[in-house]
Amino acid sequence: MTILNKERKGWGDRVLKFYIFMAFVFLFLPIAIIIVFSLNSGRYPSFPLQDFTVKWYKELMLDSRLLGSVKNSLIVAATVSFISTVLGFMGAYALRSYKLKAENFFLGFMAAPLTVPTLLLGLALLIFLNSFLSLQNSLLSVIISHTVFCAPFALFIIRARLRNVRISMEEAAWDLGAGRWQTVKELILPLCAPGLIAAALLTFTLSFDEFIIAWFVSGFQPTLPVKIWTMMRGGIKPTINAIGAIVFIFSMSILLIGEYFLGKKTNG
Amino acid sequence: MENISVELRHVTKAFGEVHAVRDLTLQVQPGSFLTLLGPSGCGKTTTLRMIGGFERPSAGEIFILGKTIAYESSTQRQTNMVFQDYALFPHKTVGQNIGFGLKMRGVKKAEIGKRVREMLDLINLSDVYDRMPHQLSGGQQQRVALARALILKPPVLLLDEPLGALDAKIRKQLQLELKQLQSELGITFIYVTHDQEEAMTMSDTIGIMNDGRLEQLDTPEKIYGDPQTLFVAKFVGECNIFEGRIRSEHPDIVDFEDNRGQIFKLKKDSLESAPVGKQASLVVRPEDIQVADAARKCVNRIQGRVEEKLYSGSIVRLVVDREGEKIMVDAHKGIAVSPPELIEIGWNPDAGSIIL
Ligand SMILES: Nc1ncnc2c1ncn2[C@@H]1O[C@H](COP(=O)(O)OP(=O)(O)O)[C@@H](O)[C@H]1O
Ligand SMILES: [Mg+2]
Repeated sequence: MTILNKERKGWGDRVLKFYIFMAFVFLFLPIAIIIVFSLNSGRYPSFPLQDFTVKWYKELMLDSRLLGSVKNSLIVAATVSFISTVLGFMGAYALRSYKLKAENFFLGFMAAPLTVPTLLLGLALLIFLNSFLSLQNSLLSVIISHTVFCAPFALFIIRARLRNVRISMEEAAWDLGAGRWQTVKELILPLCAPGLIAAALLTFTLSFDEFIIAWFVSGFQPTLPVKIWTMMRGGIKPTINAIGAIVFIFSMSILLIGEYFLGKKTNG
Repeated sequence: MENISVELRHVTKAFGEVHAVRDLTLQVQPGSFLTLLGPSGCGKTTTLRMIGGFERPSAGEIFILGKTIAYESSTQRQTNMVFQDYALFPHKTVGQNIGFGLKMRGVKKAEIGKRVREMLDLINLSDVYDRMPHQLSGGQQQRVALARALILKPPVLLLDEPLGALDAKIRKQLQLELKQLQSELGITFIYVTHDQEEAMTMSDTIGIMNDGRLEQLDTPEKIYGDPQTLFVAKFVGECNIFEGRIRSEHPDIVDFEDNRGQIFKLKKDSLESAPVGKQASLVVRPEDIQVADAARKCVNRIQGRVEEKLYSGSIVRLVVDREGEKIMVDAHKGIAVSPPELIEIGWNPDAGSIIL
């Protein structure tokens, strides 16, 4: 028995190591290369490397249109994250409190935007927002569009968190005289706070990094990914490597903080 | 009406196809300790939850101090509940947990603090005010849950297997404490358990439930000594059951004839009527049966062969074989019989009881 287990463990170990190795090669190596080239004084991304420099980063800071797109992205991501988290919480709490017969159907329905190719979703939203709501392409359009696919994420994250709050706790609160709103304030919100924070952070990065939908509906107020894309059409400049490095590190940090809250236990 | 604390009239609860509680009627006297006892799944929790206002009966009515339950208002109900899993709020300190009910009623902070400390003194946990629930032992958590429910001074306290998760020793101690607390405070306790020993030691009244029905509602002595149904007899303690019929009736004594034709005499006091000729069962507890010399003086006697002798503490359990029928007898551990000896066992008319 023990020998078998050991063998199986060793085998699983090797597969896992191989997987991690491949992930690093194909996921992180390209990004590492971008970061390296962003600090390289050569104009073209090719070896051998030349001198170390931060001039591409300095150049970025002087590009006011680029900085404008960063501001746009921050506004959009913050708003989308806030609205999605609020909607996600309300949806998750409602699902828990009123046991729907069609709960699975509803969840599938919520997940639908996540399975539609974003290209189609972007096109559909463009037509819908322009023709039906007569919205000019703008940041508002991006906010609405991003909320469409971020809110389900928030709902699923918060729903998982809410499962940890035992029904008996809610009943105890009611038994001790708490009304619906007091129960939410005293019990539900504090206990799923880590889920709320995680949802807010993850939807923030989802929106911040999203390109295709934003490209369709952002019009004359490009978000950062849209702006990067326009810049790239004129050839790959070293400044783009610098932006890439910054965005990667920024998004990665927020994701990691989000993951931390996702895994956090409520009672210590 | 005021002299009844809780009353259920023909209460039924169905969850779809499952009938959790069927036509249950009972009354609880104020200040008494009622235990609902029964195997898992028999509807105890559902009954308790209906009294607590967590579930609405499918049919029938529930009155608490003569009034129907106010389902809509969480502050106007007359009961509080101690949950099986305690349901302490993990993000609040012990003090905040216990003071929660008062806070919901808008009591001032200073007053809450004072009353929480009083409660902590009452349950002998004065030094845990600022601790978090997960820093307490199971027994301490249980007491905090109790204090949290009692601080609102409910006329009726509901407890759903509150000691179920604790180990045997702490359990015994808390049983005593609970019982003492109940008689000191004079609050009606409705207590749910599947542990018959626990029910026996704590209760004024026990309601035995089986498959959603109330089988018998009586004092612990009556439940044990005079079970009304075979289910009650078997569920509470161990017993020997003789199948047969009632042979004849005398002023104080009933003659019972078992399927082998042997007549056993027993006192009639527990039997309202003794319809002669009716099929019935005679229940005799193992500890009511005498062995050897003592048996010779008994009115009802049986010959049998000792098949097994099992020691457990101060008694020995003998399994006596009466031509294929096994009879359990509890004797003093010094008894000088051993398998495969042929012995006489017996009991007097005041020992057994008849179930029709
Ligand atoms: N919310 C519910 N939905 C469906 N069936 C339930 C529900 N609550 C209890 N039941 C069923 O009712 C019966 C009695 O349950 P319960 O009152 O919890 O029993 P006990 O507390 O005596 O173990 C069981 O068969 C259980 O499966
Ligand atoms: Mg139960």
